[in-house]
Amino acid sequence: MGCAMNNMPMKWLLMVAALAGTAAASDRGWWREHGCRSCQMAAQVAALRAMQATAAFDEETGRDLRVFPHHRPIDIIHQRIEMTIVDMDEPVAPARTVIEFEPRSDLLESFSLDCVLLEVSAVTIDGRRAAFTNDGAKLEIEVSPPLPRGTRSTLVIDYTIRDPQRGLTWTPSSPQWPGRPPQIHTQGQPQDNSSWFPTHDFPNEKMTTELVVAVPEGFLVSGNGRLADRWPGDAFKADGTRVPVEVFEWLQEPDHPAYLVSLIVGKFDIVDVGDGTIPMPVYVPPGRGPDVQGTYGDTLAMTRVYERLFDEPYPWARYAQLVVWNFDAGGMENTAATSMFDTAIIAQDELDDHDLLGLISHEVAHQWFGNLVTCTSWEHLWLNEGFATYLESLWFEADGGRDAYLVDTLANYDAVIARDDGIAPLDPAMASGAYVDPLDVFRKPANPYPKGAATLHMLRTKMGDAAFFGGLSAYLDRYRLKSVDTGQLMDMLEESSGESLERFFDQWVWRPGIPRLRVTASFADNSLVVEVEQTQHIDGDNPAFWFDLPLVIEAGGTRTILAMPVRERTNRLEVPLDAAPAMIEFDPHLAVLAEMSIGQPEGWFIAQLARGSSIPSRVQAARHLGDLQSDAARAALVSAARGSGQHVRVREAAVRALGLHEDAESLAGLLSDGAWQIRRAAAEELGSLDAVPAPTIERLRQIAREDSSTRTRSSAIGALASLEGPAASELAIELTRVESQHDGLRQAALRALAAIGPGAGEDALETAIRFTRFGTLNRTRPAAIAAVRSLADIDRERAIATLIPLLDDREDRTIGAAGDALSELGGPEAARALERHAAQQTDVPRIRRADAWLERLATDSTTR
Amino acid sequence: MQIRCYGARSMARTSLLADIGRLLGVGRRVGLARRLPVLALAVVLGGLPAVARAQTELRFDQMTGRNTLSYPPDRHFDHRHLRLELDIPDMRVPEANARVTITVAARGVERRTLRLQASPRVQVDSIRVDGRLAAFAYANPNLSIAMDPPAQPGEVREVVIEYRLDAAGLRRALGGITWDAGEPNDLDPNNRPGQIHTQGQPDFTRIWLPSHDHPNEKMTTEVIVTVPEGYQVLSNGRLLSKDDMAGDPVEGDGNEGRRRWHWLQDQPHPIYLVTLVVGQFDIVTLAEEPVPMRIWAPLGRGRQCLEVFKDTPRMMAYFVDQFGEYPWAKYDQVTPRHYTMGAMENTSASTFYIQAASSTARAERDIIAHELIHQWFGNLVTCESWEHLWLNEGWASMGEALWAEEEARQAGEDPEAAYLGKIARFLTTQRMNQTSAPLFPGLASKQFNQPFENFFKTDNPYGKGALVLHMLRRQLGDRAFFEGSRLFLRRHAFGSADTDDFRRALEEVSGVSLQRFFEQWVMRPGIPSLEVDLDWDSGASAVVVRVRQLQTIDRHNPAYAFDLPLAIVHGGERRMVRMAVDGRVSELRVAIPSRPSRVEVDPGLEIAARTRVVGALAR
Repeated sequence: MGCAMNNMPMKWLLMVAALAGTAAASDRGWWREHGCRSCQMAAQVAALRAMQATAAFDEETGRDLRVFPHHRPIDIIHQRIEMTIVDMDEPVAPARTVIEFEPRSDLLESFSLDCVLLEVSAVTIDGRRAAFTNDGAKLEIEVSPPLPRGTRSTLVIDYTIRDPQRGLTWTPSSPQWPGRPPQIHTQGQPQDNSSWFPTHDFPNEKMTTELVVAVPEGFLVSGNGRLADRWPGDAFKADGTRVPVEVFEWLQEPDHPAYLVSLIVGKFDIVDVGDGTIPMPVYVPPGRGPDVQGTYGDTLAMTRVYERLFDEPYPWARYAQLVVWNFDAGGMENTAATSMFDTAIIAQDELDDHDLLGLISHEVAHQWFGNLVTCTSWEHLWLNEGFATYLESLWFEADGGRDAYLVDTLANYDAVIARDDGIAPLDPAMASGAYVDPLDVFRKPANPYPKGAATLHMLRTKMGDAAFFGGLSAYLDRYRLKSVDTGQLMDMLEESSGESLERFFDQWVWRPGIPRLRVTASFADNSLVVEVEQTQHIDGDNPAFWFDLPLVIEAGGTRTILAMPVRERTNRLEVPLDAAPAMIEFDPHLAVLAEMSIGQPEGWFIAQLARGSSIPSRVQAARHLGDLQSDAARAALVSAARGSGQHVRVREAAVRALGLHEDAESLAGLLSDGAWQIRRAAAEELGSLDAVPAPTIERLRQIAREDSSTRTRSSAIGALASLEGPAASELAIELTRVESQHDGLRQAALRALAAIGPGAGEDALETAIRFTRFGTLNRTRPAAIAAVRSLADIDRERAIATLIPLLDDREDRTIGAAGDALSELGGPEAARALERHAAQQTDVPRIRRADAWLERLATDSTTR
Repeated sequence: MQIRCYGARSMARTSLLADIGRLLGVGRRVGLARRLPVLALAVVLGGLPAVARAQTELRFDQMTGRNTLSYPPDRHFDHRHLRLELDIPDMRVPEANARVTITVAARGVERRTLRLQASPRVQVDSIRVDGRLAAFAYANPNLSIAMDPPAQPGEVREVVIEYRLDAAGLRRALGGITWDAGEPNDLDPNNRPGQIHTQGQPDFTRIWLPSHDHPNEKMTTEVIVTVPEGYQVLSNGRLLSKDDMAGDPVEGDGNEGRRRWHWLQDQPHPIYLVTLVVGQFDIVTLAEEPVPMRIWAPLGRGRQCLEVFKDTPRMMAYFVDQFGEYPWAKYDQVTPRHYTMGAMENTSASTFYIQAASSTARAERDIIAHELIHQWFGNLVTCESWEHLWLNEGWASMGEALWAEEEARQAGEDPEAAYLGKIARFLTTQRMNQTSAPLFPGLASKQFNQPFENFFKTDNPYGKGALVLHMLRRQLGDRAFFEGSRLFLRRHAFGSADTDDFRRALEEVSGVSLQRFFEQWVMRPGIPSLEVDLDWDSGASAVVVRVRQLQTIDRHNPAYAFDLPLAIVHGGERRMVRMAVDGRVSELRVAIPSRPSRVEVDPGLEIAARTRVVGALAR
């Protein structure tokens, strides 16, 4: 599963915010992640952390609460799902699933399937009626007479799908969305497909699957694999009305796990972006066909890159990408049929500052890593997500060279450094069965996305390209169409490289946290002394990390590369040198996933910023120069920010550092830079200052109104809200009316109103309320709801009256945001509404969410 | 390896263990040298008094923060073949000239250094790589050999090390090479012939043979030994030739009357299984099928040894039936003079303690079965590192129980009783195991300083290992258990494997998720302490079973989860119930018409626990 944020490339540090449906933060420098901007996120991380600590072990009963892979009493060979949809606006469908299976146990007397809130009417095995119980989570089936191991049998379950709360999202047409055709899409990961068909809903079982779905004439059906057949037919409504339908039969032939089964019904423009060898249709909302090439044009090239790197042909019959309504994540790699979020189609005039290359390559990558070879339990999710995230970097490397690769890797490192400060055994490691809801695994601090990618980058560095790619190619060969765990990957990499990797995996994969290094370097008496202290928590469960830290020493015009052994809490290296070094680089190619705080002479940093041997090295210099409040440091940063041959990523880091220098004048100058990344960074940094001169305000207003980059405009309105307060509200209101890619500008303007607070005035509240309504993009509504909550003091009654009905919305993000807002606002009406909502829920994650709101209400009322 | 020590001699044995510990630096960590004999003694006496000792964490150094777990070494080279040529001019002089030729191929990236292990008794004269003299450096135990130019991945290099082996003073060594020069002594006033034997496991081969001395690498081996006339040489694999060196054209070169024995082990095995025995033996044949099976008995004891080892062919037939074709060219069993600590399963040539030669078939059947099943579990598939030793020794101990079961079956006796009798013995010992994490190592653990310690730890690879296998057998049923075990052997044949590999094979054939089982029984130390309260609720007419877990329970040691079998005997009927136990307290109510005559807790010994039964229905 991939995550996409409005108005920005996906970066995993924001995943918590994304999944919780809160407003997007912006891609700030690493040092800001600890700051107040992320406090909302930090609170969520803390809550998650508390949950995960109890997820491993129950103090009271002494129980081991970790999740272990599910038993597999039957070998599911093939599963067919048949559905009849007579009315796309009526979210009910009679369905039947046919499962070909063989018992794995010696004598199968009973077994259960996952089956969430489905109305099951009949079960037969080999034509004989079978007794069953259905408790809303499991369908327990009796096998009578018992079946011996290996007996091929057929299980048939008749049931009804009635507007499921997860797994299958049914979007009827609505007068509030004129022209939007009704649509159905599904989302199986992690364990939600059992909300629309009974199955073994865990990734340790694989099977071939088949969808046979009848839909009203004029609608298209997409499933996994290939379209085996389609034919016209008739169906009948409950009242006997005849409905002409078309039946689509989709067949996924090589095995895959249940969570990757996809069904999509709707009306689309379809544009193929392949070259005829593999069908590569992209399904977009009607009318958006012309934008497909601009957004998805690299899909085929990505596929070719991965085929070449891993020596494994694209495994499936086709590669479809489908843009669907009301999609929760960024993308979902369903086998051969990836789903993409609502606005994953970029208008021609937005292509300068928008792309989806990260997301697109991520989901393409999953077709091998995740789909062909699948994590056997969510504990090992990083085998899916770490790889998919890492393969984004490999695409950038193939397309843009080593710099592009390292820039992307640096972003992953920064994301881990910002969040992964866990300590064993309370905090879960990246690979860990300690979770309550499988979704927790996707958003935990030792996050499988960036930390998985960083781990793979470290492995590649350690093993060398030949052994790394050769080992992964062998891994794909050996485990294709199977499910795997972390140990199986490790064994293959050990085999190809000859390296003993257990220590590596122990510390980077099986334990939370990363090294936090205090590094000092000094030169005296012809000797360079480097000291490295590991400052993170160290104890028996968290011994000191063990690695070699690469150093590049530039002295007397030559560069020497050393590997400093770091084994203990404190480590020291002495290097005899004839003359003082001009520069020292610590780990310029990111061999070690560590946070480094470096103390050394300022001049060495200045040299490093100018001629460090990699982009991460120069960014490291810029960041440290941000903390050194000298004129020389500032001058070096200004020079780097303005360009002089620097990569835009280095320039941006210099702009961020100038923010720390509070250099308003230089920042103001950078607002006119030619690169939108620099203008945007300058706007954001200016917004973080206490005050700026009036002309700069004017310039920011101008940018907010008319910059060619909507992302820069978004940053400008954010900065103005912070600098001007209520004076910016009129402009913000104006900007909510502007259409932009992903609704980015509208969301930024709503966030600006929220930041201004009640001083923004009644018009602001009215504006926010308007965008909470159904008919606004599903990711914009939460921003509007947050603004209503922030502006509620203007008219509390009206705010609450606006929010309460949203608890019954069809869009889950809206429900989540409304519940968050109401539980924060408190008061008797809000409490009643939330209690009523809680009482109505049947779906476990929704019950948990509702309970959390009630808990917050209770806590707040006691603290008040 | 099976370790046996006897009565009064055990003290001598254990001090020898301490000696060998010192020899190999086992006592590096303060206190360990002293502790080791105590631990060994505990094993010897059959009890594991939850060794009350203030133990610091073996996994972590408080002072420096350093991770001190024992990780397996890199395998920068694929060791393909090792050929040892050993020239022994005179058995009365404990030294030999040796040449070892190791064929390696670089793995991963270009490699500049080949690192082997050797003891100071290996006195290197020269090292050549592909015929050219190579630089080398020795820092005990590592012998580092320069590859110049660096070896590219996949590139094959031939490394020839010429050395003199100094075996002086190793007359009674317990590990490495034992060389009895054959002089008269107190025990044996006759001037008897000299004798040599070796003991490689766990990391003693390096004492006499420079090599990659870790079980994570396998290679074919070839042992060529020239000895004085009248001596015999035993090693792994097939005897290719036995040349009379007298045919040598040069007169007076000292080769008169000498013989060169050429053994070839042409299927890969790990270095610790390389064996060399030189001496004068009665060589007698037990059988020729499916492979030649001979006993190398002490002179004059051939007939008696035929009797002691007579069941070997029947055991062979049974294990072949259970686990597939015997993998090696022959199966020899030898009883060297100074081998006193049990037996060692060297590939195709097991070494037994000398006492076996004057024992009986009944007394030795366990140890014979133990070493024989090792030829599959240990030799065909080898524990990848000593952390996973239980895969070797647990299976070998299980082999003792399996053979007891089969033997009873063949004799028309009660196989179940015979099998459970052996299991009960393992359980009795493990019932004293009160260890917990993280201070104590689990059954599979990297918490050790020296590999040797793994053989003696409380969570013992032998007894607890066998119990784990027994529990798996009961939980999965015979079909899945044996099929999974065969799959494990097939999949990793001639390779090394770890605990997870074994788990995966069992999961694959059974569909049962075993991760939790392995976490609690294999990865974590200790066993549960259960108090089972059996009550009769006359009002409800129900048996009330309450199980309390009384062992240490905390985040490092969560409660065990398992199904506890109960037999409720009522009016001549016996009803089996499986009670789900999880958490500190678990409860089960079973309604039956009237008070049962008795309730049996775990009658089939399916759960390795210390169990105390209390309550009204306790007997």
